Amino acid sequence: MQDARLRIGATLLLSCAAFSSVFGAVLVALWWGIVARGERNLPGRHATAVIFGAIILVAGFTEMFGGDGISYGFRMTVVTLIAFWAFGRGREGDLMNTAVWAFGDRIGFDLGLTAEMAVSSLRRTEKDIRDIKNALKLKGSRGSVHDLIPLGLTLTIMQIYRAREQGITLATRGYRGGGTFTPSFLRSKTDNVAFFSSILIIMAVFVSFAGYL
Amino acid sequence: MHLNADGLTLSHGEWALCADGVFGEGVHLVTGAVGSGKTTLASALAGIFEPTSGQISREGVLRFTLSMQFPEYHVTGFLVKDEIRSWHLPVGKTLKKSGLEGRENEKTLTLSRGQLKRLHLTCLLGNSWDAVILDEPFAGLDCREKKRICTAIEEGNHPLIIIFTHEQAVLPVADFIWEIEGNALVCRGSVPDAIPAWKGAPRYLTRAMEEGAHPENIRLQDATEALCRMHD
Repeated sequence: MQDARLRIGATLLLSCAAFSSVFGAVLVALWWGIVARGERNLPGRHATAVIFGAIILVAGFTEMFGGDGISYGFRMTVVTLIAFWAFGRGREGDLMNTAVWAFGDRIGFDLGLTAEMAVSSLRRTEKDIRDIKNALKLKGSRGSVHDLIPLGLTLTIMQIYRAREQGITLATRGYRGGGTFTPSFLRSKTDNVAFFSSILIIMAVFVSFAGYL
Repeated sequence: MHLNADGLTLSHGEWALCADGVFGEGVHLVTGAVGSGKTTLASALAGIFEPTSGQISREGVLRFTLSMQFPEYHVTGFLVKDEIRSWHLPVGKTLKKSGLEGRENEKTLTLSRGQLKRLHLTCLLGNSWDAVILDEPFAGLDCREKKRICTAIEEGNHPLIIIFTHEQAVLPVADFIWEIEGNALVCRGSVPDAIPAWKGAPRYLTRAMEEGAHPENIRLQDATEALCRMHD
């Protein structure tokens, strides 16, 4: 899905549908299996194990203490898969384009700029974590748990410094809020079908709720 | 003792770099334009970047390390003194060597990039290694500090040092010159014979050679001495 507006819209609809009920989660999982094929952007084995391990852990505890852990685990897994798809497919400028298109040059520009800076920071953090882990390994790692302290500290302080530098740069360039930006979007043949199917899914979830009530 | 890059191919998406060569004892200088793949090759030689094909062997190299371009990545000590201790070095002597006397109780990550780089390189070179790989060791340092690092490299007891840099002003005495050219690592040979073939040589060296001088090594003082010898 190339059109950022449709992708963000589809992500919101699908996330709501998947989290609201197991029925919705099944439909979204089917959508993910068909539409997101080739664009799933699953992370590496280690990250996958950590993320899904955390979901399974919470689901297990919920189930043990009388909650509906299995349902929670399944719904969260599908929401997470949609998040990988949405985040991995994103291109630089997508959020800026969408925010300005939706909210205009004042609030939209500010929202878009903030979102773009946050996403670029996240992407840079991935590389930082990899490099810090390598540096610690070369220095003589004392185990992954022990390394978490310097890793977290370095990452946090680096992010604070970068945020300060970005703030100074924006101020130096005269940024006071808002700006001029012309949004532009790409669209592939399948975009409309994929977005329309996500609307059908959320409608189906509503209908199932209405029937239940 | 040597580090051998055997038919190595390193790639990032569409980009690829080929490297084939043996890094024996001595100081090796690897130069290349920004983005030519110096950091990737340095990481591969240090064993933290997986080559697409080929292999790296380290004969007789038991203790080796890599200094990354950004010194923050190496920090494990909250205070400067903790950071020095994490390298198993005496605090006072190391502070003096790095020009940071009296700052042992400051937070390591509040030092400026240049100060942190000084501290990191002093700590790293203060240890005993069979092979040291330095990725852009002069980045972020002023001329005085670059010279201090050159002295530490020259006076150190590390049998094999590989320096990846695009520095053009302050360089240490080197034994071998390599260049990354057209997505391949090319060995220019041993110094001083390699100097005329070195395409990325600093301006002071090319100028001295244009004048007909034959510098014995790659430092500014070598170029100056070669020119002086001509006029004697």
